[in-house]
Amino acid sequence: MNPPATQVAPDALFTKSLRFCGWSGIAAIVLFILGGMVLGEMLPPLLRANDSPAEFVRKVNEHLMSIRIGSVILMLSFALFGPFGVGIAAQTRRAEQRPVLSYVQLVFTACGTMVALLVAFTWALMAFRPDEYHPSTVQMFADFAYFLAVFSVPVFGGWCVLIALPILLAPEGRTPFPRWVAYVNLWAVLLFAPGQLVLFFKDGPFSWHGIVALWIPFVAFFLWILIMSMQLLKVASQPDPIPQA
Amino acid sequence: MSIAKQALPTRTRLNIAWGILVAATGIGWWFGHAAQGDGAHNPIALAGVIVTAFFKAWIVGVEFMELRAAPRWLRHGYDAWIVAVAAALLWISLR
Amino acid sequence: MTSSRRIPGELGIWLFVAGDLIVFGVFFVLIAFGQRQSTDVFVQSRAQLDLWIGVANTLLLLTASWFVATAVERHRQGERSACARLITLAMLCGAGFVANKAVEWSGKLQQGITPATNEFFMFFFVFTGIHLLHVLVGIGVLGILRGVSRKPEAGPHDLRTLESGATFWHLVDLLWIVLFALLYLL
Repeated sequence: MNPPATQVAPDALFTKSLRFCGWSGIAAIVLFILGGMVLGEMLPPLLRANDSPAEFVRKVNEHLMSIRIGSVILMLSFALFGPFGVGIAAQTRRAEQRPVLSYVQLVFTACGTMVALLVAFTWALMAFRPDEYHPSTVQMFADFAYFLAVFSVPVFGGWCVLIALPILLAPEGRTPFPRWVAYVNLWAVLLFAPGQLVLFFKDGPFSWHGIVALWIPFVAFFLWILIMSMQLLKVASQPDPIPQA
Repeated sequence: MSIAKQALPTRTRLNIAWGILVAATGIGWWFGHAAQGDGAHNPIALAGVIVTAFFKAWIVGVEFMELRAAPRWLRHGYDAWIVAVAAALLWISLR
Repeated sequence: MTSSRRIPGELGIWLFVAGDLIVFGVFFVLIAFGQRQSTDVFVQSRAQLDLWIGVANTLLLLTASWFVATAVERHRQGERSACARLITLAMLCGAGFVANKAVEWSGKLQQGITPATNEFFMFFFVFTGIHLLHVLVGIGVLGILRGVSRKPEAGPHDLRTLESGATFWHLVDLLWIVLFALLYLL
């Protein structure tokens, strides 16, 4: 049924595609740093959860153009989550004979990408006409964006769990990624988890501008993308660890 | 003390470790009792609580988590965390 | 006999442990800062905690860790059914911790004390809550370990799974030891 490992020809298209997916992840990080951090004022947060609506309007107006340009770049960054995530699933799928977990992982990839895109949408809307919106609408757009980003722990956390599972459950010799990568994914879930607290606090470390609920999940998330992207590039550049189709 | 402990069978070591942990819990409580009596301005009590807690954590790592038999870099990494966090907490609490 | 040094479980679990230790290290520092800046609030709030529940919880987790460490040792010596029994006892200790926590929290909430009451109780509820999630996951992990030790036939990676799961459980224990000291005793 399966040809012996030594007789399978190397799959050049797979290697190239996987390399594209890995670089997508790295590009997503660079674009986020540019669009979200340097220009977009998302991180470090320009706005605070306990600012007054009038304060929101004032701050957004002060940085209007850079937030707008930043939002466009954010869109691009977050759209690249798609290929990044699919690359991971394409590799974990190869460790399963009748894949189920990798398909679930794909659904979480799609949800995560969609949620992220909405973050960029919302951030842009916030800067569309801040003087014409009611000030609390501007405030709500900021709330909306941050909630989408960090309150979505089951989505992004679930994504990581469904990467960890096919790795840990893979039979010997067919691990799609090294086992330690699975544990890093589980650790990422832990680091995303405090984001769920932003609903309950408007100031302090657990608010959407706080150390624990904003900084830790964001830093962890992009570190996770970096680690997984490098793993994808590594798989693409080494002789095939999983010879059978 | 570590040499003597190495000669003991594992079961005995685990029992002794548990005993030490329970006793240390009592000691920590005693320091805390002293601390709360003084309105948390007693530096010795504060230090006692923190040091006892990290000593307990160290025992859990070395005996229960088997770091005693682990590669040295792993064991020393754990020691480093214990010392660094304990020192940070002591510095914040006592300065 | 010189024991050859090897990583208990596997490298990955220790990466997870290291990560968790770093994150909780940050949490511990936040508590200490809060204590330093709002000492009176912290002292008065701490006085409203039930120290005995905290002590009981500490003893439950210490004992559970002893059960787990002993279980792994038994498994190494081939006594798989003893291993399974000890893990069950550890799970019961964990369940006791959860029950205790429920009693403690509901008591506080009935007194009108919530995470929004003041900075101390914010840290108290959030950090013991995140720890409680660890305990719940830990009980689940112990359940998996018990399943492994009750399989009809031993597998080649059983010891790795047991040691890794046990390491996670001990992590849960040691995090509580420090949390208990900072929240209840200081």
